[in-house]
Amino acid sequence: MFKPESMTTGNNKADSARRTVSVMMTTLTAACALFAVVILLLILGYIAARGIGSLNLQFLTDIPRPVGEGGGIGNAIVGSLVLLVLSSVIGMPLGIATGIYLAEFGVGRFAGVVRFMADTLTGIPSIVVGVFVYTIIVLPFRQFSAFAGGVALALIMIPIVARTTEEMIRLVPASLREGALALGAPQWRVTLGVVLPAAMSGIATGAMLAVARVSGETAPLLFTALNYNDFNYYLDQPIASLTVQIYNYSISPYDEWHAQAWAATLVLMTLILVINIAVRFFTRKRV
Amino acid sequence: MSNPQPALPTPASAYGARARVWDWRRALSPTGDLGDAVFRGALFLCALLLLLIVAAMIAAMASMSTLSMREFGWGFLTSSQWNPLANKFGAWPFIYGTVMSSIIALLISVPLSLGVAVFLVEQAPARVARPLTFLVELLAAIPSVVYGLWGIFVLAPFLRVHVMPPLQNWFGFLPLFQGSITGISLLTGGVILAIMITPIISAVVRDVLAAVPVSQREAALALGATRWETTRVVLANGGPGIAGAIILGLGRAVGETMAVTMLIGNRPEVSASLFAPSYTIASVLANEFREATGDLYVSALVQLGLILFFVTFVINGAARLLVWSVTRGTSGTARA
Amino acid sequence: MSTTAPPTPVTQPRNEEQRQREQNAPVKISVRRLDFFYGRAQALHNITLDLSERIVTAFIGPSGCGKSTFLRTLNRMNDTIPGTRAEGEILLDAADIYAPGTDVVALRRKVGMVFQKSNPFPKSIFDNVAYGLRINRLTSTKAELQERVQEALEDAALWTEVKDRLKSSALGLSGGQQQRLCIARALAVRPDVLLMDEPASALDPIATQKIEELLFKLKRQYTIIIVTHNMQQAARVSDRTAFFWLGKLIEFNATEKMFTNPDEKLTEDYITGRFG
Repeated sequence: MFKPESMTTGNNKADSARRTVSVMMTTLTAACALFAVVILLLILGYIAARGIGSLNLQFLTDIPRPVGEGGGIGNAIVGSLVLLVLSSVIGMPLGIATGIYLAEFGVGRFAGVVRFMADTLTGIPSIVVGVFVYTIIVLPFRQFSAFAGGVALALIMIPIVARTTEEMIRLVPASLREGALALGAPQWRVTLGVVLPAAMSGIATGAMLAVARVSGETAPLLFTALNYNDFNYYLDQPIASLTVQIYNYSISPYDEWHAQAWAATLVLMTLILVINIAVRFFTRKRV
Repeated sequence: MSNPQPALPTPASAYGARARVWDWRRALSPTGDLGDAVFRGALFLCALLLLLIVAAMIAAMASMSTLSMREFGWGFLTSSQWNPLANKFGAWPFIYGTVMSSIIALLISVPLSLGVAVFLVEQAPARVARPLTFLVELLAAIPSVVYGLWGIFVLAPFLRVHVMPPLQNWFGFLPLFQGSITGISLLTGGVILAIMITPIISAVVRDVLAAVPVSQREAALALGATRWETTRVVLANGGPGIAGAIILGLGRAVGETMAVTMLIGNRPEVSASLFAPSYTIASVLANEFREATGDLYVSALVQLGLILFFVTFVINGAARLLVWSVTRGTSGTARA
Repeated sequence: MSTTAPPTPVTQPRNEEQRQREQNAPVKISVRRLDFFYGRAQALHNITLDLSERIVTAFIGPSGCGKSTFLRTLNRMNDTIPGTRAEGEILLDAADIYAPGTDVVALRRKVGMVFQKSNPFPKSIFDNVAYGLRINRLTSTKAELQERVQEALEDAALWTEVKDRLKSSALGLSGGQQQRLCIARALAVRPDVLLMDEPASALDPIATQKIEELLFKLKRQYTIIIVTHNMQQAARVSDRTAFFWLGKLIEFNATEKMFTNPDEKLTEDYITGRFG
């Protein structure tokens, strides 16, 4: 049997050491967070500062020109949009359908494998997706094409969209679903007519984030969509994109092209930031 | 409305055989509703397609790389010779560069990411944590090519002037820090990778820490634990998940392409120095695939792609399983 | 509403000597005009009461009445919830625990807590009990550490059941054993006060009985405050009872009196099951 110990007789020296360690670790972790944010601000700051100078209407609408003649990224902007639309048309329906399947019928081994593959596929390097599309589309047709680029981006999109769709559908309260089923509606009507509309805003956010993600992809386009120095509206022809244009300009030896790379990056980052901040704004209410 | 269960017994059911007749509607849908069966079948095909894509990736790349596999065998992995003109291809310089740049990235990023995640989940008050979380997540939204551009014009010069010379002064006796300093090097590639994987690792670690029950924190606090001691209890709880997060970051570092290609120097040589240029598997694909001439050259490149595929596939699979073991598949999935 | 009230809970038998001791017990914790807020919502209104040394005090009341919130103000566990605020005074040994500059870590070492749901760490049985001793550096030698772990496990009536498997995971214990392990873990640092937040609500009757027996033993050394939604339990284990209702302290009395002849009509209605 023992007598309870008093607080005042505690080991004060050790206590203050522990407190010091605790405060130090809080400071240290805060410094880590601060460091990450400073890096972000440095990157965004550089892009804004170096990109704004070359940004004008002519730059946004013109096609690339040789060094000294100005030129712009009009064709690359249009090309990126074409690629995004194309990949969304292919990737969104497949991704959303897979997501619905996982959410509504996602029990059992098959669904588990699909879920696991989707997660693992999001981690496969995009350059590998490029190699794959090259072997199945570019090589057989002997032609770099916008279509190949769109397929490559779609393949990156599908698993992302599938998993966010699944998560969003799972957030729909079971009572809503049960209410409709209890009225005697078949499951497909309940899913398409009740569950999907309820999850729509969440799915749309996920889709927007997927678009933001692939809009920054360069590697899978290098040998699928390739690049093109003029406007192109044919899907079986190579097409320009903002990211490949940024890459080509930034590894070039010319200051003028470097400036154009920064300006093109400013355009790209604006698009990506607008999507991310909008998503943040719209999801805030629900969280 | 279709009636799933006919009231009158059919001749077959009289013999007890009806249950054994395979009804495709019933197999697809428990209600036996035609619409449901079609609906489920269509969705099933989409899900199946995802698996077929993975299978097709393996099949297509494997068949393309047979030529190179036959020619070089296992020696492909260990040979340092990469000479397209002589039709000699060995992957070792790229494997070395990939492994080394990933190790550098992890060495920098793991402590940093853990610090970020611990601060955001355990230490910072909510009104500070929320905006900071968003900002750190934005780091993940920056495209690789943008990191590359920033790396060329900001990071590489900074390392060349302010980091590499002191390192050489202090630790120049180590082979790691010898040689001429150009700024475009293995180290630069590793550092940009570290920045790029930090938001990914910290996001998953955040999910893992958040999944640790509040009761664990309360148990520690009630025993007189300080904030940091409580955090250590939480970290111990999230052990496997944190390991998964780190492996996930490794997977990303191994496959990252554009930024590394723009900063690592792209020279297929194995050098002991971190200041020397290097080359990664992803980079050689980015640089040479487009211009590859000759079947063997293309085949060797595709084989590199296949290796990259398998390595990242295994890494990501393992990481997912570890993270799932802690968060039970609830979060952190579609993000990275 | 039932017409026949359930039987009045049975309190423990007491002799005059015990009553004397309970009445004269010195004050350990003195609460003065305590208000507590979750954001703008006020959860506790103007609570004033004295908790005495080596006495089991039970807090009863319907769910949401603030009894758990009040318990968690006594070791400032509510500090971990953002947006909470306490006003008024809580004096522990005459020192205000909400005074600025209070060492919360030392406070929690002095005021231990056992939670509703057992929360062992995913470590070995030994390491669980040793945790508080280690972080607070309360022992200097390995032998001393082992001794105090054993002592705590014995006090929690768990020693005989686990002495042969101290190195195995605490998560392998049964629910009742896990809860007694958590009690042992709290006892190991030798607190003055032990707060128990419905410690038996997740347990089966036999495990519950073990915990209740433990309380009788522990009150010889500790000031124990137990929150329970089970009035029979409050009557069985406690010396004094406080009845909370809608964030207010309605009545605070000797348990014997409370369950036989309460001062307040509201208390009587609650105890006899006439509302809720």
